[in-house]
Amino acid sequence: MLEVDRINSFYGDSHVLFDVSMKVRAHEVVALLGRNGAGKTTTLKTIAGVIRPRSGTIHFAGEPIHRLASHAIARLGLQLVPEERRIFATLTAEENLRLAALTVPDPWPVERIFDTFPRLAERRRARGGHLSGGEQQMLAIARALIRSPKLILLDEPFEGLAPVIVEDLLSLCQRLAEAGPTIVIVEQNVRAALSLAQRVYILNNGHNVFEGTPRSLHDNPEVMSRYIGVGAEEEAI
Amino acid sequence: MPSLGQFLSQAFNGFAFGTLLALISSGLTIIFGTLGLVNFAHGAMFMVGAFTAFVVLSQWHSFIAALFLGAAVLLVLAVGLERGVIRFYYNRPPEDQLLVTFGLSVMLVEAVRALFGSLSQRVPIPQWGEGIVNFGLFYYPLYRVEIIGIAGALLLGLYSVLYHTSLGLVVRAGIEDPTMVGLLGIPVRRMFLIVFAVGAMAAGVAGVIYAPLAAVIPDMGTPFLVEAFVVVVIGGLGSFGGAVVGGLIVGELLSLTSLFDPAYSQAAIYAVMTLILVVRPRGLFGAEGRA
Repeated sequence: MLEVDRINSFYGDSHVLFDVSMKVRAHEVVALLGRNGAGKTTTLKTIAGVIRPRSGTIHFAGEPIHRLASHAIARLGLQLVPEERRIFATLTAEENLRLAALTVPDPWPVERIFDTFPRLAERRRARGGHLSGGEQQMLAIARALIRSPKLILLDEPFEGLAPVIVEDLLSLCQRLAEAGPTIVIVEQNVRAALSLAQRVYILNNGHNVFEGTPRSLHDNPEVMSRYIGVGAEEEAI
Repeated sequence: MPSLGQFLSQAFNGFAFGTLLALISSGLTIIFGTLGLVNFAHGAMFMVGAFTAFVVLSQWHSFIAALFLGAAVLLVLAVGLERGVIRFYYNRPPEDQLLVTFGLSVMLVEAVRALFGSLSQRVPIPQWGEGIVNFGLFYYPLYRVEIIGIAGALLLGLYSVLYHTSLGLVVRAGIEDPTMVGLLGIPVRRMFLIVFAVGAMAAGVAGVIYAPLAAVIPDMGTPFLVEAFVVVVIGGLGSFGGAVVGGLIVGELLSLTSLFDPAYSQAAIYAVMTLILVVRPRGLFGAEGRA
């Protein structure tokens, strides 16, 4: 479904990704882990076309996408749910959803979104800026779902949210994963990410350093402590 | 002390001028908000609209034709400038944008000067705008009353597009976060072109409406550019409501101060702008973090 082959990405002059590769099969949930600054977000942004790689290739559903603009990539059915959620604060929750549905031929009906997220139904006329962090995250995920994407890239969906809300969202993501779309998730909350994922990639300083199953990562405490960090390691157990 | 009649008459002037300023500024603010572009050519676009009105009204005496042709000329001009020059400056520093739009403004002004000369030209008031209205306490030129209606209707039209159409939804989202708009499958560059054209057309039709009020000269856009920037700062960057309210505030300030001492009218708007910048840096209606 997604094939990233030795991409190199830059922010201005600073080289951030070094020959990063990854493969994601259809209907699979893949976690992309690593410390702060490891290049996880940059990898997702490069796949989604926000950053153009200087070299390397990215194929999505067989098509090369590394030269396409982000809107063209989104139209192929690849949807990034960015870090910090980026909800339109002056638009209502419903307008955020309608905007997302504009360029898809067969979007989810808004009512189906509201059935999936009853909380958003209550807040449909509230402006994005007036939603709580948890509601904004739900809206960010809903905004991706309404486009019925084939692949969702989730960048730190649980960041900065209360544990109760993380549990809610986690079970939502689990149901989502079972329903079919392919998911790549970047998350500092390693326990949450590993509970969802079937396979794991770890990045360190912009390099691939590990690829395997959550099981094989558990069996490899050295990789855990070296590339994910002690705090995260405790979380993971 | 001015009489009540003088005061009301001047307040009416401020209202009429304010609606025009609101129209110009709404164009400037959506361009500024969406494209992040400091458009110093906005005043020149207003001027091009006014000269279109001069040509059309002197030749055919049709105000409706002037409005439509004014909009059409600005549409063609804006598309040409955006595709040919402006789009290469979206990711450049503000000083580059400022210089290139200032350069375009000089070229437009000089092109019009080459065609029409530097002397001011009178534009006839449309027939239905001739005459005066008796308001009891004061007499008032009919055309200025009509300006409020025409500019108000155009602002209402712009409001409907922004708040009741899909295009408006895209533009309002683009003012906040163009990258995210792109991530939702919407071609951002095409949206930028549309916004630039709509903003330029707002300035152009404001020029058409203004032309019969005063004589047209090639340099007429400069004070309007400056005042429109003051309006945008007061109202809040990228806010349509802010442009309308800010336009009316600046219009009234200019008019009512002139009643006491015209020399202070410009100082008054900068004083209010400074005050706003101190107590509410994002402007009256500006979004947080976009100050």
